Amino acid sequence: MLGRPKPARWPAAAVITGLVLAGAATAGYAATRPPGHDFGVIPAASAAAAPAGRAVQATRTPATRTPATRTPATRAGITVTAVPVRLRIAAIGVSAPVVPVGVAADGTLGIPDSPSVVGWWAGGSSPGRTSGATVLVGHVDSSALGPGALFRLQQLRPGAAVTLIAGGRAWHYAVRAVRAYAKAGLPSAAVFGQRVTSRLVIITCGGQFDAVTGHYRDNIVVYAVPT
Amino acid sequence: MRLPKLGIWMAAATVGLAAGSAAAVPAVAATGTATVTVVHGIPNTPVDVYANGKKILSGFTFKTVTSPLSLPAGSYAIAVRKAGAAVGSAPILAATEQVPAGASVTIVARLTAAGKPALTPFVNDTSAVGSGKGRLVVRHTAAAPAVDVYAGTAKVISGLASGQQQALAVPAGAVSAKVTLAGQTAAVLGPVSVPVTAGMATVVYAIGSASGHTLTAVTQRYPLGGMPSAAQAGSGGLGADPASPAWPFALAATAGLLLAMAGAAGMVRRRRAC
Repeated sequence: MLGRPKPARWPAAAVITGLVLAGAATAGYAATRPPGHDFGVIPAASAAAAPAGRAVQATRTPATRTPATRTPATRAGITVTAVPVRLRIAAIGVSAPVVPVGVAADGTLGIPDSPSVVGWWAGGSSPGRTSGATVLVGHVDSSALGPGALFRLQQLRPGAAVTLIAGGRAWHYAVRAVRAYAKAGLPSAAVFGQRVTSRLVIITCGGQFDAVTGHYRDNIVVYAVPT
Repeated sequence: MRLPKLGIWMAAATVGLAAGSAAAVPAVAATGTATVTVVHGIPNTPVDVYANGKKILSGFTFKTVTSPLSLPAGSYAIAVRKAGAAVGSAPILAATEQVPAGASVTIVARLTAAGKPALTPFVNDTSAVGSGKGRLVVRHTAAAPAVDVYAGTAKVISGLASGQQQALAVPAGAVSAKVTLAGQTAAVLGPVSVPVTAGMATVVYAIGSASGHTLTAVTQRYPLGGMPSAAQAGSGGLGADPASPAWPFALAATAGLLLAMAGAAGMVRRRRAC
């Protein structure tokens, strides 16, 4: 009465389960690898490639018209620098004060002591100019004080809106590209260069952390253009 | 025929080198512009400031320091008139200033030691200082005798006369600054806390008039150094990518493959049995 034995299913199940497990493990490992931080296309340097800056009333200032003498006014070819005072990036919850910074003798861009404050390279461009890169630099974190103002910068993606308050106005930008560069290979001419159409460059640190040197391996760089 | 070819290549190489070096010129100099800041140090005298006949500042008042003005390099006829005075009226002050490309210049409308209005230009030294340091500059632009400057209790500048400046490289942080008449200890200004930022110059101007009891100080900040080459913007490691230890994944993958092989072997055995 013993019929033909039912074909055992376990070998097939084992093959499938095993392959799925192996695949998942491989995929899992790949997912924890340093993610690709490169998104979008870096704006072209040429003057024809992007529109010039457009000023919009800051939401915090009264609705009254900003006097014509407010920055950046151009009279007789003289432009008043619109000094950035605040950076806002809603997509990653940033609203941080901005202060001017310079460059040390070793070429390192200065950065505010407080990780919650963002630096503006005062030797570079400023909002409203038709050319040059407005460069901001902020801490990703600090060993003493925890996450910094730009902790989530590498989560930005092309299209995200960035606002700078400068000269009593809001200046709007749209993210075009996000890049991770090994610090040793930072293309400083591309990042800091001023022979470009008006753009905003935001820099922080990221990538793997070297606990010995206390520094990150990479710089995260966001490129944005005026909208 | 070889020589001309070589010549062409050399010319091409030279052009390439020239283009390369041009691209490396620091930002501001490359654009042929200069940066000018204007400081108002004459008490009780609101003014309009003209450059080459065009009004660039109106209702400019004592103790005001402008944002940096970016302008094409060149020669500028500067005229300072009482606020609201007609363009054609006689200026209080007039001077022609040469502003070279890439320069950072501050023009101070001030009272001389003798109390006469004057326009005094200062070239801002933008050379870099060591990491973690800033430059502290003191400019005596007041109607007052020569002064000494103290940082804390240490005298750091002696006998600075009106119209003169002196600079120091100091570690970033707050400097408690005090100004006394030269050789004296009683402060005529301060002590005030002057924040010095790394990579930046902090310029303190003594302005006004000692005899008029309007002596006061204003500050200007400008960046030091040329093009940056690096940025260190984190020290915590909180935002770091995971270091990706591979072994748990390798173990799981190996187990999976073993299981799959066992299953395959089982299937083969079954087939044989059938």
